[in-house]
Amino acid sequence: MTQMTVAPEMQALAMAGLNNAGQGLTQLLGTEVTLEVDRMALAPVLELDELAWAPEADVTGIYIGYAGDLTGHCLLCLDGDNPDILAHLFLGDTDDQELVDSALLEAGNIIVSWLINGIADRGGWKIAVTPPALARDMLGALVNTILAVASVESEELLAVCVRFKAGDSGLTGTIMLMPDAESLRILSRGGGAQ
Amino acid sequence: MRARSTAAGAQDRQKTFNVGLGQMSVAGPEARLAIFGLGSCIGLVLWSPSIKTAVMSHVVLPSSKGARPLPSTPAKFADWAIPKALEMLKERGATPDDIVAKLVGGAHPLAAALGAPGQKNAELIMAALEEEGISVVASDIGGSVGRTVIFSPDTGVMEIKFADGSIKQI
Amino acid sequence: MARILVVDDARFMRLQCTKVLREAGHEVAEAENGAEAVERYEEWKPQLVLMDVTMPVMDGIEAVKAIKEKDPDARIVMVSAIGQQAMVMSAIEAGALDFVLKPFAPQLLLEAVNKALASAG
Repeated sequence: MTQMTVAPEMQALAMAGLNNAGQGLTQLLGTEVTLEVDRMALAPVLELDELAWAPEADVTGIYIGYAGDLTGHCLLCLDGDNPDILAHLFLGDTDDQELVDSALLEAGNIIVSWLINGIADRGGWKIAVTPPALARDMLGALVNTILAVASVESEELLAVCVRFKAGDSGLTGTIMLMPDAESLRILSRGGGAQ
Repeated sequence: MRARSTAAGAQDRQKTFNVGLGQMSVAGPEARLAIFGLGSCIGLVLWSPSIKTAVMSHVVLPSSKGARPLPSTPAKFADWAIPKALEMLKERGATPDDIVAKLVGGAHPLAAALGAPGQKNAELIMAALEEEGISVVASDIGGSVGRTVIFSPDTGVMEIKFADGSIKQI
Repeated sequence: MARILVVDDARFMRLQCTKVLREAGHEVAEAENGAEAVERYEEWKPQLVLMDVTMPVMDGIEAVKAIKEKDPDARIVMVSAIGQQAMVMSAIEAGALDFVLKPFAPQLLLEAVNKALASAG
């Protein structure tokens, strides 16, 4: 995969998204959250299966698509104990699996929405998100399924992987943001509302 | 063609070739072919029992609609992968009536958001194989969770491990 | 005390909102998407609607337009994580009175509810 040289305009957009997502997560979890870009790669869609750092790892994935002035895919991945930690932060002890899933879905919705909001407001764009979908599966299966869909419309994708850590709770997670080729061209120009 | 090979553990000294998205790889009896984390795509194996050699393709979609194959993703479409796989097997001494197929995959883990095209894609691929005169001797298609698939050209066994840890052989 | 319709596809969010509102003495009904919200509005005639934006079947902005068409005096407050300036503008232009950004502190939600109930719609 090509490790990108990131243009200043795109860096500013990425930072706007990260800062906003950090604020949203901090408010959501009630503890300080740090985010950092783990990797940013521009590559042919089908080469991005390398994003799945451990293809057989069991993860809880929350998928959200976005469309409007920018279009693309986003996957929030929680591995190990992280889904339980997040659910417990919201619900305490519960046997209600449906409620746990609903809370995880909503967490994904909030986290990704704040990330998208930061980018949208910085660029002067309007970007809607889809209702979230949840799957407990192999990381590779989730990533590959998204890339298979993306490959229908795009030859190339930008993939941005963001790791977050939530202070004392021990919660960590990864957000993969994948704008499509047309959106990448728009992002490279940096947008208008700076 | 991009295929990563990984050495297996101490007890199993066979080399395992990991076949990435849109890729294809050939192996003889000394090696295995694998896809780790197969989701909605189709893992297609064409196998020649007489020469114990197989080609595994990680197919994304059934039809290229006439587009020319790309060297970087030779198995993105089944109508690219199937002729190429047959060619590779014939180069190694397989005869057409000796070649059989096994198909795995087409899961829909995120159906609510991304739909569930796997079953339909698999049916289209099976129809294309039938047109080539290739028998599909085994398949495991659909479901809502991913799979890891390992094929042994030596025995013709396809081992499938599901996300819930269960294992089956076809 | 008011009749308040809570509209959100996430059961978890409906639970959170409903708890805050009932503890404040309000009567609450729920809907899971915009289309259900429009039906429920007609049946139940709430004094206020708390409306999510991102929902299947019919999104919140479309639901606001549909409800306002039937009842121009309907009071609707958006409750959503999609708080982009352009999105907030769309909601206000559709007829929403206010926009509460998720995740919300209960006090903030109640302030928005009280302000909306006090308004003319």
